Amino acid sequence: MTIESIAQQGTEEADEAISSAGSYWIVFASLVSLTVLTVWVSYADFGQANIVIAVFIASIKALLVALFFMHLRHGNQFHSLAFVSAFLFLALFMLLTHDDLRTRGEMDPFYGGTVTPRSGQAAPGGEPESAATADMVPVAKVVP
Amino acid sequence: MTNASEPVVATANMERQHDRPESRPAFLAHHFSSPAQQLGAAKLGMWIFIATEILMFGGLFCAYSVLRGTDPEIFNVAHHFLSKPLGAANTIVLLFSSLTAALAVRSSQLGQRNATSAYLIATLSCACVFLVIKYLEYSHKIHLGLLPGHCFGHPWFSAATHDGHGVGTCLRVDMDAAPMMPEWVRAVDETGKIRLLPPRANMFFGLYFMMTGLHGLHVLVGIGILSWVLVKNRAGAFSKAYYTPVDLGALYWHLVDLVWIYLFPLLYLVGKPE
Repeated sequence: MTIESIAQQGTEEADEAISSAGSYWIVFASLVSLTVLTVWVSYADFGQANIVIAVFIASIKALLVALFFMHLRHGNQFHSLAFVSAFLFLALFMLLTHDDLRTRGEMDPFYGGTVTPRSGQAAPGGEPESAATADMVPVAKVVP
Repeated sequence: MTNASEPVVATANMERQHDRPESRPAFLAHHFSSPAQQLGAAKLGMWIFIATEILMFGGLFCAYSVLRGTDPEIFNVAHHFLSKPLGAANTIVLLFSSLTAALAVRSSQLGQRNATSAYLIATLSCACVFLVIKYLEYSHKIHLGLLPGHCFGHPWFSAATHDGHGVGTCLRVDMDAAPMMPEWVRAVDETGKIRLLPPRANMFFGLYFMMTGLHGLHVLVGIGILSWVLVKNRAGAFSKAYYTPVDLGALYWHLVDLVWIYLFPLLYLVGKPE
């Protein structure tokens, strides 16, 4: 394989198959139906599942737009990779942020220091040890 | 073919291209060997740009998820101040504009210049309708005093009153206990009910204005890009063989649509209904 043929192989798929106008209208009709559905569902209360349902329907809509309007279905697979990798890095970003927040510790209402909610021990990376907290942090540590 | 001979072949091909400049179309930059390669490179660049855009919005979506996780009650109160019908109307308008953008690319691929112009004008019109509806929503909220910093938490604005009915009034509760405590806000929601918003509801409206504001900025930029594409298209710059700017402009517009597809349910629809 020559360099040029490798380059050609990667770009030939960019020459997209032209979809019919009708197929775009069908995608648009599905998108509008899903919008009506998500608004209709929002008037019912499923508690914690409300946001899950809303994001699930939004993701179906986003997938339709990406696959058909943005031509990922016919396009180069490398474009899909770039697109999906953005969401992977976003997931990583959110995961680490939430992990940090969950393990950061809370203010202990009795002693004033920062403790992890589950163990009651002094939280790592919380409030720096000051004159006010220095004598109570060891106390907080022995609480199971 | 041996490894050593590969660069030689590539060089030979390039020289052959340069020897016959008349065989190269005017739109083909000299560092590309074929129009397909040029379009492929442009589209890959656009997709990487779209990935960075997703990550930029991702910061705000992450802030949203943190607030949603720590204080879901704010969403249950504050979402009553967003109009579901206006939000849904804007969603449909933006979805339709995405459809016409996709059809503009299609007719451009088929070499139908006038149809492309018509579809681009439809897309631009929808973009303007979206901004008008957004303006109505913003001005209503600003009138109610929901702009971060106006009522919420800032002592300078504690006397703000917008009409005689106590609407849009920032209330200072428990004055003696905490004189510097941020105010609660009393305002009429979308159903006409007077509600009391806790001071920390400014986090919700801060997110609302930042997320929709950044999105609105993208709508404005999209209008600029598509207008330029429209002008070039009318001037006859594009053909069946070269429609890259139409394609990339439409991709940008679909990204704007994509972000709104998530913004609408996350801001307007996730609160607890009554």
